[in-house]
Amino acid sequence: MKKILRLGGLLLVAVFLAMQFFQPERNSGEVTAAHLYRQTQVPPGVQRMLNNACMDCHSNQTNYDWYHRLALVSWLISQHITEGKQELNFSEWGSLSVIDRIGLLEDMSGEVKRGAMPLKSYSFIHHEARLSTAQVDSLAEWIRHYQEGLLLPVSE
Amino acid sequence: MHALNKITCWEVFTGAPNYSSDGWAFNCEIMIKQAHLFVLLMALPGATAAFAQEAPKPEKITYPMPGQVKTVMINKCYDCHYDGERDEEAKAGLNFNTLDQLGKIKQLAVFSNIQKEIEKGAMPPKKFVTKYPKAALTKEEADLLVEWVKKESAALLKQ
Repeated sequence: MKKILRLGGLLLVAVFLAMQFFQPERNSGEVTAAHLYRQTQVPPGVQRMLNNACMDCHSNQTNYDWYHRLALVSWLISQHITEGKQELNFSEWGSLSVIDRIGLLEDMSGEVKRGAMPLKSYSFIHHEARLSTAQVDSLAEWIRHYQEGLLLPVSE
Repeated sequence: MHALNKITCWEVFTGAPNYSSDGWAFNCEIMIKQAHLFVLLMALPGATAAFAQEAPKPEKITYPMPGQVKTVMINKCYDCHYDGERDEEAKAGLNFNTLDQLGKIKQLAVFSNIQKEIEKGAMPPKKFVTKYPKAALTKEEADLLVEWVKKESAALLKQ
């Protein structure tokens, strides 16, 4: 019986080690001119919030921790990033139409106010991603201001 | 006095015997049958029209849009995107009862979302379409909505 348990344990370890050879592509692209920060002036406080709570999954630049290299975690994180970037990618902000920018900003404001974003699982691990009411309000205020600014050049 | 098997119409309608001066009695069985037939004939055109139009829906989409677009919106979208819907997320994304009262930014955001969801094939939701296959948007209907949304957004931006 002990022998079977030992063999089972060894097999699990071997599978875990083998999994480490199959890592997803890392999300570590260059910051280009299409990035939100290069498209508009974002106040430092808002940038800090976006970096802490959004950019890991909504840009081409993820800040990885050591445990993100371990298979299973790395796969899970990779899937989150892929889905997050499909919805909103700040690194490709420059390629979006004014209407899409306004729509995405509106979604972003609504989700943050409802507490749907950042994801609970993310803010559980990343304490700095937990946004206070004041932070949410200032983010919403910046979004509203930015949206109004987006309308101006078209109206003129 | 009239025969026992015959009652006057006065008696039918009032429950009281008719003691009119001439003692004139009607054969009420015949009269009642005729009355039923009359009522049926009167109600028939209305009933036929109601079945033909499948319960006409009141004017609930007040945001101005072409008739064809409105028909698709009412038939395929309205039932989940109005004040009475319990799913808050559906209402938050689009509510036809309040669409015309929103500001320009929010209207643009709604139109951007409509376009995105339809182009992704995410609306109506797959689960809903599986349950109600008739709710699915045809290619022509999807194109019609997306084209209108694009035009409407561009027009709003220029305002």
